[in-house]
Amino acid sequence: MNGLLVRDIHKTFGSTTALDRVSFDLEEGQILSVLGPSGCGKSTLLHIIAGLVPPDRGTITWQGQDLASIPAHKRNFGLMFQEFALFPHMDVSENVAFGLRMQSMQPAQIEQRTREVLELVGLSAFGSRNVDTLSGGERQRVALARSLAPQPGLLMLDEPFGALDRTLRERLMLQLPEILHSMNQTAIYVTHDQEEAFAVAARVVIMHAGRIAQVGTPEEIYCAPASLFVARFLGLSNLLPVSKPADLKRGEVQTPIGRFSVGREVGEGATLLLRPDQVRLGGPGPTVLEGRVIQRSFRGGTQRLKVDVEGTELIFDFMTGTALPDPGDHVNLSFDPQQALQVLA
Amino acid sequence: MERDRSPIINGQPGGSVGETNRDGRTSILFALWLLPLLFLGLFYFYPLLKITALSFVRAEGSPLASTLSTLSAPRTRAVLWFTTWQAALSTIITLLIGLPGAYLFARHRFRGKQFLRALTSIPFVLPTLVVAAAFNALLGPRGWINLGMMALFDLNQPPVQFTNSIIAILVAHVFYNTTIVLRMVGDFWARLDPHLGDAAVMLGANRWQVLRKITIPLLSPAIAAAALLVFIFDFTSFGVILILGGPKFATLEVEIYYQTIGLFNLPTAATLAMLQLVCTLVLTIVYTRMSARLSRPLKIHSREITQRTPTSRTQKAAVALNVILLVTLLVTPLLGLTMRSFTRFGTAPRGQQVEQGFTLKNYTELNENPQGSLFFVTPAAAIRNSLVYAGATVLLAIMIGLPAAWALAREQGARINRWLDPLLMLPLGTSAVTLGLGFIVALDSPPLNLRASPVLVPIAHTLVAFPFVVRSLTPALRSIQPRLRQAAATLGASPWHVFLTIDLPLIGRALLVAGVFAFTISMGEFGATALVARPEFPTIPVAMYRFLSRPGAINFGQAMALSTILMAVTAGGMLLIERFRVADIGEF
Repeated sequence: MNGLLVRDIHKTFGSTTALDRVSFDLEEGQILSVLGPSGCGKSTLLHIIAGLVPPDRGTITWQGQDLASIPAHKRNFGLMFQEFALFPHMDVSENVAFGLRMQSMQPAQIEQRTREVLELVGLSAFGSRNVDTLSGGERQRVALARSLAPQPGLLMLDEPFGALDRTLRERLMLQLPEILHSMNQTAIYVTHDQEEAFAVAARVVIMHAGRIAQVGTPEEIYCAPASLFVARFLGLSNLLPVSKPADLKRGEVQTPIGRFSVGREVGEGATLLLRPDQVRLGGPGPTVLEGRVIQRSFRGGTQRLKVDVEGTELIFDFMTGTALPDPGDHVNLSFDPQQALQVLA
Repeated sequence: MERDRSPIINGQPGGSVGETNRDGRTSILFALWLLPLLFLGLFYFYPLLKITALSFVRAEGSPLASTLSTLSAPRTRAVLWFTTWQAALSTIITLLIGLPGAYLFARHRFRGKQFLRALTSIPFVLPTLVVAAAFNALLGPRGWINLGMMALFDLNQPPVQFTNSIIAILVAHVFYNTTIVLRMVGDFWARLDPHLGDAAVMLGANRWQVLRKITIPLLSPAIAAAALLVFIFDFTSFGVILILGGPKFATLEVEIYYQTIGLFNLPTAATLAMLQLVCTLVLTIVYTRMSARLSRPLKIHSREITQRTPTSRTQKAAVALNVILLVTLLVTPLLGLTMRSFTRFGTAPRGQQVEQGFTLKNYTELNENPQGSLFFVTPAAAIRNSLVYAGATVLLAIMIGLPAAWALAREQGARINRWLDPLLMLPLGTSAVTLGLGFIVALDSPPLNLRASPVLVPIAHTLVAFPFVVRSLTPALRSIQPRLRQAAATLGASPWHVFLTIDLPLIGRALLVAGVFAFTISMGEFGATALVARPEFPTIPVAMYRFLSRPGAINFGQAMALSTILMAVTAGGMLLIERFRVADIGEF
């Protein structure tokens, strides 16, 4: 295969395991997101791929070549650092031209390429500006231009929007994939923010405590989280512990809010996810819950109800515009178990 | 209601109220400045003026002609030339040894690092006389190396000629000032974003290119500032040259001392002092400009992410080599000094038998007068004198320094403060010997006839300590913002509690640091003391100088013992300061 092959990477720092048997592939021209909470090993993974940190075990192959013996500065990979790491003693153009100068390019070509890349990120007029005078968003774009200028085979971005405010982040989140796709750039995008990960990449790797928890498209991951950790990390609520009393029928599970048929055997200690967005108000439906509204809140595109069912608080989301009951009211909720229920190991 | 609240919301009191307030504040500022300015005027500017007058006005001929003849004398030119090139050479060697050490401290994590860091900070705070004595203990005619070689090869004369050589001066200067490079460059380096280097690597730069294009350009302000400070210290070096260099070598500072004490040629000394003053002032101004550049907006990074534990064998070897070099250079002389103070070798001047080998006598005999000489002052008396002077210096320095620091902290932008702030730092750029000379020429005639008074010593020490005291008090006083008091009050603290739990701990720590600064500076000060101390009331450094310039094993041993005591006091004081300091280190 022609892209990036990461196989069985293992890394420990002292007594802590940073990466444990991490493997994945990335085709050329594709963008991959690596998503996980801070401290899950994502940055270490990037630094190992970049060649800044050696792995304890495992191999990394790029375009069929094993990278073990190739030092970082000869891999022709780009890495955009969390806080951009712009060189403070150089102006914007000099920052962008640094990688080109390292390739011993002709001055005229360097100048031309620098101008091109600055234009691409919308900073044509900023060439001679001091990097201290730039805003957060401008710095981010200079860092992107600097990593793109030498045309790296693989571009890695480490939390590139971490330091920016929300509105700016949302705008850049839309621009970045556009720029990368226009250059057919192979890229790995590391973030702890699921919205970013889903918006930027077609494929997402979720990491947890140094291991890969799930790989898939954003839809696959969101609709079918592979584990309790993934469901929690994605912010899915209504995670119900499962127990197995003696009189349980085949294919049923017992939860604090009642028995449900899930059509298969479930082990003790599993968790049942009742998806908050797959529930309708009122009956009748295939399965009905009865409860009392505790709180109602408006969240923009959706509205949220907190409902007490048999002493357990559950959360449900409805489209804005749906008429909702008031706190204290009694409600019936119905759902299709096929769509709304999912067993997590 | 609405109208009443607006001035409070805007944070600015209304028109007429503000006027009276500002007047009130200004008069408080003036009141605070009164004592410090009076003190500086009387004991700093007035003596300097007298020196200036003395250097220009002579009995015969046109006033300028004789000044010019002193300045153009071959002797003066030779002294200035020597002063300059030994300082330049010392600075270069200090950088060559300090920079790898700075890298070691900035980028590596290894066992015993904190200890080594504390250890390497000791030389800088040691009094020059202790440094000179330490090298004497290691490499002098009675030092360990010579004693060892004499015993080993059965020699009658010490084979290594270290003292009275330029090598001795250079080595002592490097020993003294390497800490400055370690601290100033090392601290700056430790906070440089290591990702800058990684970013350059990712853009295709190899290790050498990273060093040349990224690291060195970014470090250059810190390197330049450290080099300049080292140069200033080497340029005004006094004790090291006097003791280790011997009569062959004279810097401007030493020449002023000789001209004053030896030849009592005050006009020539005054002219040289003027020359020295101009040089150090120019250097200090350049240094202040440079260190201001150090605070350019670089992102500060926690040490945790900037440092790595060495892993590969070459890395470990490099770290080990570096540590060994630093320990050899900075710790052996101190160790040699301490050990030498517990031993006696050789003979007494009149050929009496002297106990050989390990002994506590250097310490137990500190209170004795072996020759029964009338003018002999026992070392114990010198210790007592030093303690009294140091105590007086602490009181005086805080009395003068606290109001000045308070004024500076209250109104950072006030015009009076902007003018006076640099003025306070002037004594820092004035050599101690010049201060001493100033006292001799200015304070020996009515209305201020203090020449016979021992009061001059703590006053001189206060001048030297004053900038340090102000520098350590001001940031602490600034850190007590009204917000803190308000926060404490909203959490239910009574005004008394607020004072007890907020103000007092913050000021108390700073006062402790300032006091210890004043104390250690006073204990170790030699340049000014050598000129103004009454012969019957010597301080520890003055007594050490006397013992070192006399022959015999007993004198040498007692100098070692005094030196070790002084080393322990100053090192202990410095460790206390490090522990309680509010402002950041690296600003000397």
